[in-house]
Amino acid sequence: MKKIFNLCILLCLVLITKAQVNIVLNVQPQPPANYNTWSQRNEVITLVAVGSPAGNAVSAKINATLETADGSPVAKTDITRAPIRQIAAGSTTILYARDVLDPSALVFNASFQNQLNKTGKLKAGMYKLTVSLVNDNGSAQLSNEQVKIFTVVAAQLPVLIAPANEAILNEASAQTAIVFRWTPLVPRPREPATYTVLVFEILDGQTAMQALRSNQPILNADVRDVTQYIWRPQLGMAEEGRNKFIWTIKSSDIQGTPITGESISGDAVSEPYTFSFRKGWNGIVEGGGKSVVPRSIDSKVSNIVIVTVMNDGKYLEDGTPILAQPTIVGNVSNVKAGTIVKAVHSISKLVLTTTTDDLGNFSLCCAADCISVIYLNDVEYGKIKVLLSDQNIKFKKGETKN
Amino acid sequence: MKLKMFFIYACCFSSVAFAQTKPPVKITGSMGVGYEGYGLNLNPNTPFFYGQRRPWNQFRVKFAPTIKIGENFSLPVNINFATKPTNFLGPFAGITALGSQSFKQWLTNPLNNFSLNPKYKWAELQLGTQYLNYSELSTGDIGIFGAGFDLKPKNYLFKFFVGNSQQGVNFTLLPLPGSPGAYQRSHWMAQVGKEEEGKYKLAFNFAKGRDYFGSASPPPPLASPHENFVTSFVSDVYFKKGYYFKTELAQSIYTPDNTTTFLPPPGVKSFLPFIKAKAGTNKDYAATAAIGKKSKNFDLGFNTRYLGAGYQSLGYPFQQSDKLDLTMNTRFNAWKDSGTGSYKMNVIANIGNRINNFNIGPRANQFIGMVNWFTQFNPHFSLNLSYNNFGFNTNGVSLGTPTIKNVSNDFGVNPTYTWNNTKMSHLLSMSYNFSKYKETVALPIAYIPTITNNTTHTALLTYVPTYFNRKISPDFSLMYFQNKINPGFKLQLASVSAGLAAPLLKEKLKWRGQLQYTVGKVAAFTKNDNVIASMTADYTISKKVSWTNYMSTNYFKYGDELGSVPLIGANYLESTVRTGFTYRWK
Repeated sequence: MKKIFNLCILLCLVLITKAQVNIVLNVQPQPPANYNTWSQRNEVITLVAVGSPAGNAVSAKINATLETADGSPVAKTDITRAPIRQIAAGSTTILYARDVLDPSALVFNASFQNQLNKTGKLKAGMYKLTVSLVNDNGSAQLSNEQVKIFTVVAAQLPVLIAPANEAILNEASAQTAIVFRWTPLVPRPREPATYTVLVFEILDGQTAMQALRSNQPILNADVRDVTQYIWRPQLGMAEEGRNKFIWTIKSSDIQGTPITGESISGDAVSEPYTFSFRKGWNGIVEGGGKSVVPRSIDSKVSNIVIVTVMNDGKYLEDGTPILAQPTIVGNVSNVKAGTIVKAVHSISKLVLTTTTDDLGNFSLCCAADCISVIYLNDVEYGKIKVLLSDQNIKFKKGETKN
Repeated sequence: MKLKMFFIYACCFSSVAFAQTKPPVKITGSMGVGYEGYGLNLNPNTPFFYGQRRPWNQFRVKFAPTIKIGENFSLPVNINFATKPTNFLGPFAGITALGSQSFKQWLTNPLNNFSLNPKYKWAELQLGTQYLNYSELSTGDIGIFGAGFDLKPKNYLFKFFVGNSQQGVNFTLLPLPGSPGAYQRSHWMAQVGKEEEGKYKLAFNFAKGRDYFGSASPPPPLASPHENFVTSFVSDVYFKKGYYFKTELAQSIYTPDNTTTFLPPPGVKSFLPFIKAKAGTNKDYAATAAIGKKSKNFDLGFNTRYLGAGYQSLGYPFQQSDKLDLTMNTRFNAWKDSGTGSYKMNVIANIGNRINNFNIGPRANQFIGMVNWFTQFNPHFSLNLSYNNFGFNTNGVSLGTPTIKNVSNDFGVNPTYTWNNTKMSHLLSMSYNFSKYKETVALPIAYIPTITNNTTHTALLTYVPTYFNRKISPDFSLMYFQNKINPGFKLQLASVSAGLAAPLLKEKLKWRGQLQYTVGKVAAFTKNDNVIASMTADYTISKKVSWTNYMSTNYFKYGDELGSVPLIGANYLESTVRTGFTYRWK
């Protein structure tokens, strides 16, 4: 509609004035900072040229001057290198950024050229574009002159706030509600933007990015102009290994066109974050009594991992389980089958190793009469104490011993 | 006698020779098939109020044995694929709109994995789909289908891989939602260096990515074919007493449209034979550095990460450029127990600042601060306190755009008490989180800020009894959640859930079930109800074969928040079934 209106105005101008060609220049008020993409985007600059119905076809060159708002030169067309354009009498020619700012003819000021060579982008700020059509050597102007002011702002896609990257959420809490928060698009669009919250399950054996690029989202919700979404996941949590997710925000304008910002993915999605749920309890060890091995205070093992061992309820004062037999039978929850369980005798440094089965169970022979440190995949987890069998009779079941 | 000796000698020799030519073969790993079914019943069917969120039917096949021959040779196989493409983001998004995938598309679809990684001592051949992470700035995020090797003779590193991360996908609008299309993207990458674990790593990385214009017809209208070449140098050094210094310096040369025939601007040079500069080509830099000390009871580290405005890597397609991150992190243990020598207190803290649009402007500042303070007062009682602060501030007034300021403060307290007797142990955990989020938007002309205050309270109580002599494992939890946004929005949720796990059928069947009921209230609307029941039942058929099952059902009934009749009381029933057989080599 806008283009038709412009054309009508232009035709009127052509009839009223005596210019050989009349032009109307349209520039996006906030074009992308990535100048190198302008040539692929027809919407950034549109130059409508209408030849006078009374005259002949005109051979013309586009003379463009780009300046900052304070008048400092940015770029100017080298007329000797500019290609000739034919504007037929009475007909309309539409030209775009690749023609108006023809890369083969446009000469940038040295500092701006260095900036473009390095970043491909124009610095944020206000710019003035002046365009006219001139003859072959630039000595005569063949059209009216058009001037447009525009602002370059590098669009920043939303930055994810919560859940933070690699956050571990309490499962009991997360299965009722998870609050997603992100920063708004910068600059804030004049019309309300739509933010699509996307959450993907990371399946067993998948990398986070693989899940993002291949799975159907488990959450795909649009919100308009607000930067928070409260998700009620409504997922059954009984299943193990289905507790890792990757999330992101996809931004689009009021027409539903993706806002890609300056990213090269073209998906209009922000840098994604992952999060997982922490299980409250999952240690099933068959037969006998069992104890949770306390995690070392500086253990780097994820706190969703729980090591349980069979014992008869005997502990050191700091909670270290005491085993009366040199064979440890236990379970490691929330780890993959094949996790390496290692017990290192704290004095002799004797190392004994085994791996967990598909249920996380393991059994391990361990040196007796000493504290052994348990490692999972070579990361320290906690410790246990194994007694010689004759020491076992010195205290009763349920007692603690230092 | 001589003949006898000859036979004995021959037998010994042949048995030794036999042992040498037929080394022991060991197979580990697993294979299996699985089915996932999804059902959704809506009431009413129209107007639309809730969408399907899983594929209706999906079959998955997994074949992942590792064959080990002797001490030095292993052959991990990973064949993992699904029958129905479900791509939503990325190059294969909407591929179902084109009908069936081509064989090449199927092979390179990130939904599927086909890989063979034969390894002999320090030499590994990489065939098929590989997710290779060479470094933080060069390449590491995407799966590539191709071939390469990873050699580590002594302490040297020689790595090379070549392949495609995506095939060409034609653009189409119909059937909806259509396919945005994608160009075929090829990559190659190499690493040369030297590494001694725990002492140092020095390596050069090279990563090239290129799109092919003719690979999609019609081509994607919103994308141009990119070309990119990244070189980086990684230098990690570990000193005595836990001190370390790590850095990576990188340079990218990036052409946003490799079909252009225009010459590059003055000052932009090609880096032949790796990449030829064209109009639009730019060259920029990135760097990371970390310095610090790690020890048993104390860590301190400083990290910085800079990505220039023109820095791009096709190996990290979602990476945002033009930013500077500065972070400091620490961890320490305190309050030593005189009896056991172990520490009772652990503190982890991070503080950081990120500046987006660092070069291009206007700059946006983000501040992130976090502290987590855990104390084990005695074997029974522990307390965890956490505080997070996030700030975001961008000044757009000078450019005639709004100024935005967001501040988020979250505080959490989580006491846990455990107690035991001879028959059982009890775990009681309470958790309370308070979050305050304030968003200020100031328009440049009137400069009258719009302030949105958003507060959230979350309270959770969990009780887990553990029986020493019984085989059931129950757990219970209660939760209350409230979110209030001015003016006038309030969401309240209250839920109760219970779970139970137990072995059945002579412990061949591992069963776990969970039931949860949630009542919710949005602003002044009538309440909504949600019931979720889920169950797993894993049956051990034999030592090597297991049958896994999962079922869940989710019933949600709205109040009057969706609008008028017929949506008042609208409800849906969502069901998921997963079943599969797994054979595990042991």
